[in-house]
Amino acid sequence: MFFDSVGEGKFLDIDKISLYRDVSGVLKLKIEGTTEDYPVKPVRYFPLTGDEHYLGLFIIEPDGKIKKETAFITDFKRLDENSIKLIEEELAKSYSLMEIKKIISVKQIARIGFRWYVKTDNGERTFDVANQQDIYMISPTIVIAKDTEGNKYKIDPIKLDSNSRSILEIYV
Amino acid sequence: MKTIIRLLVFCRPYKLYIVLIFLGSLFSTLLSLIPTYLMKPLTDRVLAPSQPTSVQDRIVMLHLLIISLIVVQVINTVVGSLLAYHKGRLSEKIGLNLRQTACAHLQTLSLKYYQRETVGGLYSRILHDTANLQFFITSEVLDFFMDMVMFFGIGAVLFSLEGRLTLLLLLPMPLIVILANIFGDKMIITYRKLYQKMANLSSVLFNIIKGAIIVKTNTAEERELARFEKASTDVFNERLYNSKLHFLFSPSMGFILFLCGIMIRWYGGWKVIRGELSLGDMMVFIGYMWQFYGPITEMNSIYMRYQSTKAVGERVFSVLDTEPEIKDDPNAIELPNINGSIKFDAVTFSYDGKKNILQDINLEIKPGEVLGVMGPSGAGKTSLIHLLCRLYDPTCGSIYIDGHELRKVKMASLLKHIGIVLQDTILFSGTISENIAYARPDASSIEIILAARAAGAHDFIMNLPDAYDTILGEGGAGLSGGEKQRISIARVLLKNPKIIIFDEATSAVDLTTEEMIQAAIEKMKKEGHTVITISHKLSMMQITDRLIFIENGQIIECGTYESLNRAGGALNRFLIEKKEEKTKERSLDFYVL
Repeated sequence: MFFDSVGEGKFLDIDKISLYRDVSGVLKLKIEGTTEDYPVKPVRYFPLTGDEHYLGLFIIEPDGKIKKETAFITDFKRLDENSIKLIEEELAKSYSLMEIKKIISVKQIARIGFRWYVKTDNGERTFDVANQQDIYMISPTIVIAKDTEGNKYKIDPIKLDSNSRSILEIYV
Repeated sequence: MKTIIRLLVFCRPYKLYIVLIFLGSLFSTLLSLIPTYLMKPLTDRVLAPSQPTSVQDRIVMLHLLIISLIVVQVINTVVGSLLAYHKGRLSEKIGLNLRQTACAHLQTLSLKYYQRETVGGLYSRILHDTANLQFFITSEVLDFFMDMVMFFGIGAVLFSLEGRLTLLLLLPMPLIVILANIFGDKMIITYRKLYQKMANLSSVLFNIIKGAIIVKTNTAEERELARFEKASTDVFNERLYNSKLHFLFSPSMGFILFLCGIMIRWYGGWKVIRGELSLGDMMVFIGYMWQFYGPITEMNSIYMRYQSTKAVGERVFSVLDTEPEIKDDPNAIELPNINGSIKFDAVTFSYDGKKNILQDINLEIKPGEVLGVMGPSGAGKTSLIHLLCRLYDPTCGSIYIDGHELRKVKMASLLKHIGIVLQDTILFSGTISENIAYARPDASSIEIILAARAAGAHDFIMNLPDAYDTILGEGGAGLSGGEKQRISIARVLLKNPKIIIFDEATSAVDLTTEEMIQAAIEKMKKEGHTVITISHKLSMMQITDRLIFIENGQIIECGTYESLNRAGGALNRFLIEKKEEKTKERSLDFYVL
C-alpha cells in the first residue's frame, strides 16, 4: 500500500475515514477526530483503463467542476461495507459505460456524421457520431465511441466478431 | 545495377518464397505459350489439313484441342491468381522491411542530420519512395526474368520452325537498344529532378499544415498558397516532361516493331505460297511474333521504370548510408549510478567547423546544485545542453559526468540520467498517462499520479473528461501551453534522472505554471538532483544556487544571482537592456493598436 491521503497535504489512515449520505442525499466524508464532514464525489483517476480501486474523493463546485481533492484512496474496498456500497452507487452513476458487443452497420449521414447500429450489453442501440475523431483507441482492448450527445460506449475489439471488427477498423 | 543489388539484400529473408514464386511464374509463362502452339495442329490437321483426313477424325481432333485449350487456361488462371496473391504478400513484406529499416536507421542519426533535412522530404523517402521500391522489386524484377524466359523460349521455338523468319524478327533489336539508352539517360535525370521536387512539395505542404496557426494569424494564406502552387507546378512540369519522353519512346518502339511485323507477314506469306512453310507454322509464327515482341517492349518499359527506381533508390539509400555522427565508442562503458557532478573542461564547439559557438568553456557543477544559465540569444546556452546530452561532440575539450568522459560512456546509459524540459513541449498522440510515462512505460498508476502532482498537473488533469485516460490530440492539441509544460515536467519527474535541464521552459507559460515549475525545481534540489535552468527570466534565476552569464560562446560571469547583480557587470547590463526592450515593445504595441 502506497498511501491514502486526505486534503491539506496530511496523510490519513484509511481506517479513520468513512462515508455516509446526509438527509438531503449528499455523499459526505467523515474523518475520525474531526468535526467537519466534507461533501464529496468519488472520481476515478483512470476511468477507462486503470485499476478500478484507485479513486479520489473530491469536493465538487456547484457547476460540477472539481474543486479540491480531499482523499486519494488506493483501494476503496478497504473501507467499511457501507462506504464501499455508497462509492459503488456513485461510480455506477458517473462511469457506467455501455459495452458494444456487435456492430451491425455504420452509415454515413449528411450533416450528422455517422449513424451506428449496434448491439450492446443493454440491447440494440442506434447513435450518431459526429466525426471519426470521436472513435478512439485507448488500448488494444479498449476503444471508446462518443456520440453527439456526449454518451460514451466501450468496445473491446478482441471480443468482437470478425464482421464487427472489420467495420471498426475503418474508423480506428 | 548497384541499386537493384542493394534492393535484393532486402529480399534475402524471403529467398525461399521468392524461388517458389519464380518457379510458379515460370510454369505460368510456359503454360501461356501452349495455346499459340496449338494453332499449328488446329490449322494443319483440323481446319486446312495438308493430308486427306476424315471429317470424323477432324472433329475428334477439334474437340481434343478445345478441351486442351480450356484445361490450359483453367490451370493458368488458378496459378495466376495464386501468384498474384503471393507476389502482393511478398511485396508488402519487403515494403515493411524497407520502411522499418529506414525508420530504425533514422533513429540512430544525430540531431545535425534532422536539422539538415526537411520533415516533408524525410516523410516522402520513408513512406512513398520505399513503396515505389517494393513495387519495383517484386513486380518489375520478376517480370523482367519472366520476359527473358519468354524471349528465349519463344526464340527457340521460332528458330525450330523457320530460322530466316526468326532472324528477321531480331532485326530491330540493335535499334531498340540504342533508343533505350538514349531515352534511359534522359529519364534518370528527369526522375531525379521529379523526386526532389516532390519532396519539396511535401515539405511545403507539411509546413502549411503544421504551421496553420501562424499562417492564419498572419493572414499568410495567399503567400503560402503561392508557395504551394509554385512547388506543385514544378512537379507538374517535371511530370509533363517525363510523360513527353515516355510518349516519344513508346510509339517509336511500337512503330519499329510494326514495320518488322509487316516484313514477317510479307516474307512468311511468300514462303507459304511457295509451299516452303505450312499455313499452321505461319499462324504459329504470327501468334508467337507478338508474344516475342511483348517481352521486348515490356523489358524496355521495365528499363524506363528502372531508371525511376534508380532515382528513388538513391534517395532511400542516401538515408541508409548516412552514418550517425555520434556513435558509441567500441570500448564505451555503461554509465553507473551517478551523483550528478558535471565538468566542462576547456570545451570549444562549432556546428559547421568554421564559427565557434562555444569557446574554451570551463565549468564545474556540483551534485544537487541548481545552476542558472543566462545570456543573449545565440550566445551558446542551448549548445551547452546539446553537448551535455551528447547530441554533438565538442570540437575540443571534454565533458565529464561524475568523472566519466562522455565519449567513453554509452549514449543510452548517459541519457538515462538526464531529463530535459524544453520551451516547445513535445507531446504525442495518446492518453495523458501514456505521455507522462513515456520514458517509463512500466510505471505504475500511483507513480504517474505522484509525478503529475509534483509537476502541478494533477488538478487540471482531474478536470479533463477522462482524467488520466484523456486522449491528447497530435502535439497535445486541446491543452494550454502551461498545461502541456506541466505534463512534460511530470514526464521528467517520473523518469527521475539525476540531472534535469530546463531549457527556456518558462518562457511561454503563465505565472501560475512558472510558480509551479519553480516549486518543482525546489523539490528536485531537495531530493539531490542537479538542475540546469536556461532562462531569460529573472524569477527563474533567483531560485538558482549559482548563475553563469554566457556571451559570444564564453562564460563572462559566474556567481550567485545577488553577487552578480550587485557587481553591475554584464548580467546587470543585460537585465537593464531586457527591461528597456520590454518597455519599447509595450509602447510599440500601443502605437500598433
